[in-house]
Amino acid sequence: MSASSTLADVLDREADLYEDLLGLLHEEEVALIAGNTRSVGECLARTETVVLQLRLLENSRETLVSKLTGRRDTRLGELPGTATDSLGRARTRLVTTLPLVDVMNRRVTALLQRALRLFDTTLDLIREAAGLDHQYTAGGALTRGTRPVIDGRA
Amino acid sequence: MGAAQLAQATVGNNAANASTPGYSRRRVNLVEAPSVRLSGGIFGTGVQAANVVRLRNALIDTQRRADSQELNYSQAQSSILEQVDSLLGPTGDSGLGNALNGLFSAFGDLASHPEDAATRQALLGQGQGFADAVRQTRDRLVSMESDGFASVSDRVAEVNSTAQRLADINSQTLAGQPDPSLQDEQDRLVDRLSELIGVRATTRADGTVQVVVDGTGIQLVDGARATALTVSGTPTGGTVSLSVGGATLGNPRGEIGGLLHMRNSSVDGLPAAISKLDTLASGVIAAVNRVHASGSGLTLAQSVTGSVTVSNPAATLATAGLWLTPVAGTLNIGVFDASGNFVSSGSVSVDPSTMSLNGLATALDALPNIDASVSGGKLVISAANAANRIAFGPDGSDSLVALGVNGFFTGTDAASIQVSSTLQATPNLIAAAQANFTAGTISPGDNRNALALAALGTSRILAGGTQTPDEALGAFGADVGTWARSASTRTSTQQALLDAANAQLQQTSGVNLDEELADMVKYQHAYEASAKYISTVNSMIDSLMGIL
Repeated sequence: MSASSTLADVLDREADLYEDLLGLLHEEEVALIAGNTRSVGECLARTETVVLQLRLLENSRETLVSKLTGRRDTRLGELPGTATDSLGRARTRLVTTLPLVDVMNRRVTALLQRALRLFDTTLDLIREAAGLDHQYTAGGALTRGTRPVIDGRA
Repeated sequence: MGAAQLAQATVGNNAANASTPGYSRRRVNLVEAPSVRLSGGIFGTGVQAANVVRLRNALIDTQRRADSQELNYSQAQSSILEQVDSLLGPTGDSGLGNALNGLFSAFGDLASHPEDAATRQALLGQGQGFADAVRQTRDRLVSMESDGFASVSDRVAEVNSTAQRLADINSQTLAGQPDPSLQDEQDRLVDRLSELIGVRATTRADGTVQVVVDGTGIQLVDGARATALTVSGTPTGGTVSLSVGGATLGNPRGEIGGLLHMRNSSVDGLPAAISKLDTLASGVIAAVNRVHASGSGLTLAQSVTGSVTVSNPAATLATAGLWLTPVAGTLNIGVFDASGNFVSSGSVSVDPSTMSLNGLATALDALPNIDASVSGGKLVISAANAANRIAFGPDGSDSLVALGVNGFFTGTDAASIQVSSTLQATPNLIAAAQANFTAGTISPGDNRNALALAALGTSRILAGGTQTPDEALGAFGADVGTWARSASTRTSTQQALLDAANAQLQQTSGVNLDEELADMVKYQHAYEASAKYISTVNSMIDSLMGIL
């Protein structure tokens, strides 16, 4: 098998994994919004596997591109036969899928950022309602703002 | 993202309202958003919030309101009865028992020292003390009636404003989307109406609440329309009632029902307590005056005027509306000169079924050396000779008592009891002695009438001859105590039932901070984990996009 066809196979497998990742992102979004931590955990485990496979494939891709062109950062469009053979089809799949993953990532990222800000406010409310927002110093003075750490490890 | 925000905000709202009365825990119902078809397959687009729902159990609400209205009904009664019980108790404000014992003790002192002016003065003080205690006790009871009326009026005004507020919310509900906050407010208002008057509420499909006064079928709120309650009656006396649109509410429950019961009941309410006190006072007045009217003082009066006014002196004594109806019997009366020498005596047979006040006056006037007339509806008996004095003997007809002649007390009940002003002005007129018309003598040292008066304290002269004054007062206090304990028992029972219902409601609708906190930690961990892997994926995408 030539280096070119091997590269096409690697890119094709990467495209498969990114499509899987897109589905996982959707599932995670659902789980995160629902507060379903079990589903979130399952999604995370599967995502880690996908990301690990993607990293391995990326290493292979960089090695193959380097072997074909002598450089690691050569763009795929500059490789010979890109528009006609299997390498071109794999590239096209990635060009289609990666923007969708990127959009999904941005949505989830924005959701997380907004939600994490809400966490602070909400946890403040709960601490205040539970009377956890006041503490005494060793000298007996009353302080405010010394928040208990809630890290889930207790 | 909107769904995530709503879920977060709902948890936060739950936590912030953990101590808000009437707040119902809420949860966001999440549903999957429509999917999109891409080249790699069908992909979801996330979730969206379908709605925010209140976690509320209608069955528990109904039971809780039923318990609440009964609790408030009993509490209203218990609160008033405790005041009455305290008023009449051994250490009560009125000191009625002490005053009663003091009166008969003073009669005993008079028997020991019938000629002693200080003893007579002390007796007048004890008599007035008893009269004051009785009147003050009655005034307090009447004041409670008046307070009860004012409370009913206040609560009815609150019912009307609450019902109107509920109708306004119904109107808002009809105009827009169901709002959990408005629904909570609806529940709070219905809860308050249940406490106040006892209601049954039905939530219709359009989200509006229909409210019916429990046990009456009368609608208080229907859609955007509220019907106002009206209070009828007077602050004291008579009966207080409620009506809605001209229809009288029979026996409402809730606090208003309890107040109305206390205000109106002649069995175990304030009217019953007042009636019992009046009966007790009337009995003591009649018994004391019956003995006193037949006695004679250290000095005798030339003229005596009855304290009771008869509106129709021509009516028979049996039908004249007297507070105490005379019986058939003989009234004895004598005349002495200023030196105490016997002049004459006579008697009149009284038949109340045929004899009027005018007829009695005529009969007395026919006796030798006696003038009698009716003046302003009162019987006036005088010695015909202004230098002479009159003395009363046994009166088997009770006419003297009924007409208030030569009595120790004036007045006819707890509201009007007083020590005779004539006696207060001339203590020597207190009748410690008994004239002997047969022998034609009155002895200054005679204490027979005072002994008879003192003996009343231990005689069964009340309740149809079954109770001594002390026993009658004790029975009165025992009755009120029984009512109060009964109401108190009902209150504690209802409180227990309501506590149980509230606990059930809290399990469903209450906000548990631990639970909310755990929810938040779960969210936080999931979000932080997501942030980590998204960061990794982003860098990989950037790298790959750079060479495509």
